[in-house]
Amino acid sequence: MRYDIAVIGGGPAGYSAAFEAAARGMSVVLFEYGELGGTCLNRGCVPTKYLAHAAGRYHDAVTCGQDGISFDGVKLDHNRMVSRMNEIVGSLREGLTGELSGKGITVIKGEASVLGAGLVGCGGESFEASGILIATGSGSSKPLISGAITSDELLKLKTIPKKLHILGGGTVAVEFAEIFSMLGSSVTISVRGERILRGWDKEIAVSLSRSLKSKGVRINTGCDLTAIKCGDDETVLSAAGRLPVLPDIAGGLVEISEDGGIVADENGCTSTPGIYAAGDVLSGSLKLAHTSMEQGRRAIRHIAGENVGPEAVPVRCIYAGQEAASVGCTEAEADNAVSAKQSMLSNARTVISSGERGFVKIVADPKTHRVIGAQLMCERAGDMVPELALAIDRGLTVDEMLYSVRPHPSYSEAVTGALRNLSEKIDAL
Amino acid sequence: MSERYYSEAHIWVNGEEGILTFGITDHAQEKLGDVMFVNLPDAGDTVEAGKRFGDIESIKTVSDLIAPASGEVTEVNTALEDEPELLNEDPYSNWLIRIKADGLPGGLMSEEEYLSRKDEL
Ligand SMILES: Cc1cc2nc3c(=O)[nH]c(=O)nc-3n(C[C@H](O)[C@H](O)[C@H](O)COP(=O)(O)OP(=O)(O)OC[C@H]3O[C@@H](n4cnc5c(N)ncnc54)[C@H](O)[C@@H]3O)c2cc1C
Repeated sequence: MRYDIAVIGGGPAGYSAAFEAAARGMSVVLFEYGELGGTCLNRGCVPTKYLAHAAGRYHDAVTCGQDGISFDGVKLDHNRMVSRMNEIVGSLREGLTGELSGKGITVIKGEASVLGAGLVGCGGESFEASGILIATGSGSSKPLISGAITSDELLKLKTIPKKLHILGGGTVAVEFAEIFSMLGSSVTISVRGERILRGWDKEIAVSLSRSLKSKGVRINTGCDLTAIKCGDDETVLSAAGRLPVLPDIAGGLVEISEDGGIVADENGCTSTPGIYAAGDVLSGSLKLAHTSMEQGRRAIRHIAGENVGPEAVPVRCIYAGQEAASVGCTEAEADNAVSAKQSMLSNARTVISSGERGFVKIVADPKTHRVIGAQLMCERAGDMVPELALAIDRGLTVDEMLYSVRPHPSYSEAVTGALRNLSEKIDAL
Repeated sequence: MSERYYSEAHIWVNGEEGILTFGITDHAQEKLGDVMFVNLPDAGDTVEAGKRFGDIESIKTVSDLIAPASGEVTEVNTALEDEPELLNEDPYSNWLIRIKADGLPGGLMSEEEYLSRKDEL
């Protein structure tokens, strides 16, 4: 069988690439041995964000007294919550399956391997393709201690754990800590370093840590995680990172780096022409769904011989607390950058809703006045960050961003506030 | 405790054996109102005289903290991460950071001078 493109893996990187190729009239075959949608849809973004939503509603029901609303005997039915989660995942997966077949993409269930340049094997059959995209994603690394479970298993628990001990302080750890503390578990996070969210802006890390503590989460720092013992009555989640999942690849076709990921350039090209890689399987990958999707699409544009252009600046979000997001550099990372902050305590929309402390911080280059980074911690931070990403990608200046009007009352008014503070600071230099 | 000196940016400094301690003045805490968050560097970072080394967020505003001296941060008062309101309660015992530095920098004011000039700064 011959195709223009063979995609191995039906997660965000794989299906986005398949759609991009089909839109260009290419014939596409996609191999998936598990479930379409990959980690993101089945065990990652979607189920966790549903749980965060549901746990948030429960928390609101218990705490909305200040708005004059109260309920007698608010109940939590965990089974119902889990079946709703599975319904949502199922309906999105059905939608994805329908869309793939609607676009004429051939989906083959089975484990695929790369037999050679232009040759993929699956179930004893060979498939020829001009371009091969390896998008096999990642899996949870082995639990740090015996008795601990991974995030895949945590999502399948039949009951809400009384005590949840989370080893690791990354995004996934923090999100689960918040979800389960809102659902009533007694949660502890243990990290090796001096605070959670290593690699994030310090203010976001410290602020989220405080917000978690205010919800009753204990945070232990400076721990030797492998020396921790699983208590009898506690569930221990090992959230210590994820490892690339590689398909069988005929010897020497692609270079594998020390982190176990495939080495590729910004267009996904590996060391063999015609073999591409995208998503979590890449060496040094950010392990984010939207980044994986874009890498898949870039690879197809490169295969199609288009001018792919520079990579867009990565955007990262944390769906805990209010929400946090980060794009570009922090003031500490850039030389001679200026930053200014707007507190959400004076943002009308925030005062109306949660009234929680938050901020929008924007970083600029004082010479060119261009926006080069932003860190946000506020409600809907994930929905607010794209305009800042666009500004960075398009080289917009602080004044150009100030030109646009943002609605009142909205969380995004804080972007205007931060830009105004930044403009004043740059003028005063 | 050795004597406190004051910068025009409302930071107090005192020094003992190569270590300088910075904090905010009572006047600054009063002007700020309820302190909601303090953003400080980490131990091992360097701060530069006249430059921002963090910021303080109050109900009313966000103010930069300007370093009165340069040096490497040796200690950070992490208690302020969870309880920034300590700065309102007692800004002199609740210091911000300590840095390694050789002696006091020039250009600082005595307590008497600061108290007489604080409102015009
Ligand atoms: C708990 C959790 C929460 C997350 N939340 C978010 C979030 O909110 N936002 C975000 O951006 N990211 C989130 N992520 C990360 C996100 O899920 C991943 O970055 C994303 O799924 C990576 O996409 P991918 O296509 O590269 O790989 P995957 O989604 O892992 O998909 C790879 C697919 O390839 C298949 N496969 C592997 N080998 C073969 C083979 N040999 N033959 C056939 N098929 C094969 C697998 O079965 C899998 O379906 C989360 C992850 C976790 C674990």
